[in-house]
Amino acid sequence: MSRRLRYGAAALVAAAGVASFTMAAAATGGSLERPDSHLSHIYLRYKTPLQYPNGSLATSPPLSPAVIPAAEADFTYLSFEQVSDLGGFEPAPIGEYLSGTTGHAVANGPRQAHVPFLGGAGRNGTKIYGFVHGLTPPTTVPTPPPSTIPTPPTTSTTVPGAPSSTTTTTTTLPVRPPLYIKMTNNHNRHPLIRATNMAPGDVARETVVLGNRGDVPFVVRLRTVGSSNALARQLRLTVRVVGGSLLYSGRLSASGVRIARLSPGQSIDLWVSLRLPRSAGNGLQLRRVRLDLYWSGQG
Amino acid sequence: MIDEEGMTSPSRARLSGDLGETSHRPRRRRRQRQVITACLVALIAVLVAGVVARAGVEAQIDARVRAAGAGANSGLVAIESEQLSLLRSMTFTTGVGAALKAESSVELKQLTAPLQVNSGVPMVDIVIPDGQVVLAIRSKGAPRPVATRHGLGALGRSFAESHGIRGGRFSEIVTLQGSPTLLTIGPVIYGNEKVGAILVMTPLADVLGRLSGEVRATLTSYNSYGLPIVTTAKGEPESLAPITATTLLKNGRVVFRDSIGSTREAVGRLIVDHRAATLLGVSVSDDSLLTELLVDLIGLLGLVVAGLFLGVPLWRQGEREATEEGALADV
Repeated sequence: MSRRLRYGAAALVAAAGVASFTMAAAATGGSLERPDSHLSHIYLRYKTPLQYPNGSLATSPPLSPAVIPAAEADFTYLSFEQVSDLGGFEPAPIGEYLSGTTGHAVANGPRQAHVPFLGGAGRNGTKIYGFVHGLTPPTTVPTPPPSTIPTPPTTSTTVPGAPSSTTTTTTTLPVRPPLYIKMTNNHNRHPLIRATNMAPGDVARETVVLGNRGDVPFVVRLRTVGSSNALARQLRLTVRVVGGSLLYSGRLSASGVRIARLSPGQSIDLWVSLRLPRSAGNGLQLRRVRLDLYWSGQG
Repeated sequence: MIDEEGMTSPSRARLSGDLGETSHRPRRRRRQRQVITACLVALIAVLVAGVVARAGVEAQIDARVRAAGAGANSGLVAIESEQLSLLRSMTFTTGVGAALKAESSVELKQLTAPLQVNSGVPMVDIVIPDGQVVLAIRSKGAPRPVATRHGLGALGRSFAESHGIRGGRFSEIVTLQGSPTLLTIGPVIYGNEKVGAILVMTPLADVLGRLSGEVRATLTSYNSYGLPIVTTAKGEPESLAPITATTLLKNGRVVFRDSIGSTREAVGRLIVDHRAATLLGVSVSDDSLLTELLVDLIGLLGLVVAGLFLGVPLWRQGEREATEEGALADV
């Protein structure tokens, strides 16, 4: 009898120990306590159609077709451009975002949602499906050092009216042991800035993110090639680190401007802006400027 | 009686009794030491379990506030998207440009009020280039409108960037009538003329209220001096040190702190338009101490029960052995 009691007591002690560690491992989560705007529509609903004060039914006129490229530009801009775009709490997935329209959030998936309860509400079994708004990273031919990457991605800037186009040249060096230099540009092969009908005082500005996805560090330099008319002589180009120092401010013709040194995995966010000074006169009307920006990396 | 060993029974008995008491005392002391040692080890184990439990809970809380902070910023992108959607629908509605050029508030209302009502955005102002408000649309409970937005820096910037790829549309946090507000603004172009701008606004307090519900955490916005400006907390949040606030705004690492009311807070940045607009504090209740106490309590209860189950039979067995030895001695 005493032996049974001993075995029973030992089992009870073990159970108490397991229970205490189980409680220690238990998360402090809770159940969903109230309706969430992602799951329930937040819009007002009407039993009867809306009416104007004069009693007529409210209608919506059609939208101008210009809204389509405007929406595209906005959606692209909403993508996370910097690792710190989630406030430093977690690294932001560059090129993707959690978008919301009509109160419903559409997350990229199937993956863990950035809004934590969405995973927890379904006991971590919730699958999140949605649209992937990712930017396709450009591919670069692996090129070994020693001195200069021969093929920087090219961005072009078009000012009043000129159709945009980009040019890229490629040079292949002899094969060497595989050390990759790879620079990425989130505007690769797409116009960085398209400014039309600029008036004196106008500023056209965009961000560009340059990254080092290779194996060796390099120094990024900027060189510009563009039109040389009266308008180009008036326009002012500014390159600044987002939230940081001014790197270049001056004429459109820039050569060998040192931007930054990027280590493998590092990226830099830049503001690139074009400004037409207020002193610009009417003689510059109907002129066009095209500007190609060459970002090169030198190891 | 003389037994085989030539000793008298009483002597033997006395000797046996002496021997029994002498041999029983060291064994009893040994057992006592063993019991005390076992109790101490068990107590230490329970306390260590409590400490480990608390550390585990704290790590999970930190992970949770991190995820909530990221979720809040991600949700803010959704709100920006909604405001931009309303702005585009108003800006590009056929007839809005002409109505604004004519400064016809009646026609503007007819065109844009249904859009605002259906959007969930509480505040819309339609202004002409000098900032004069032509039409203000408000949801119930929203801040009252004003006559002019003259001097608003976002107006000038929107017009200046109207030829950019985004047509001068952007979002930022501004202070309007003393209240921080999430503003999305865009110019209205009619022909080649900038005839005005549309301001789509949500008070930052409402923004944080919605985000707080989504991420299930208390949110607080701090300015660059570390002072709280908007909060969903019931009490008064603690201020941050100015140097901490400045460092955080300059891409400093997220700061964790224990706040009043047993809460754990992570302070990072609130990102609007890819820029740090304010600091964002995300806090949840910190029940790690309670967890530690509960683990200790349950462990101790288990030990007490186990001790009773083990100790009583052992004690009885000891008593039985002592009695048997005493009986043998008598014999």
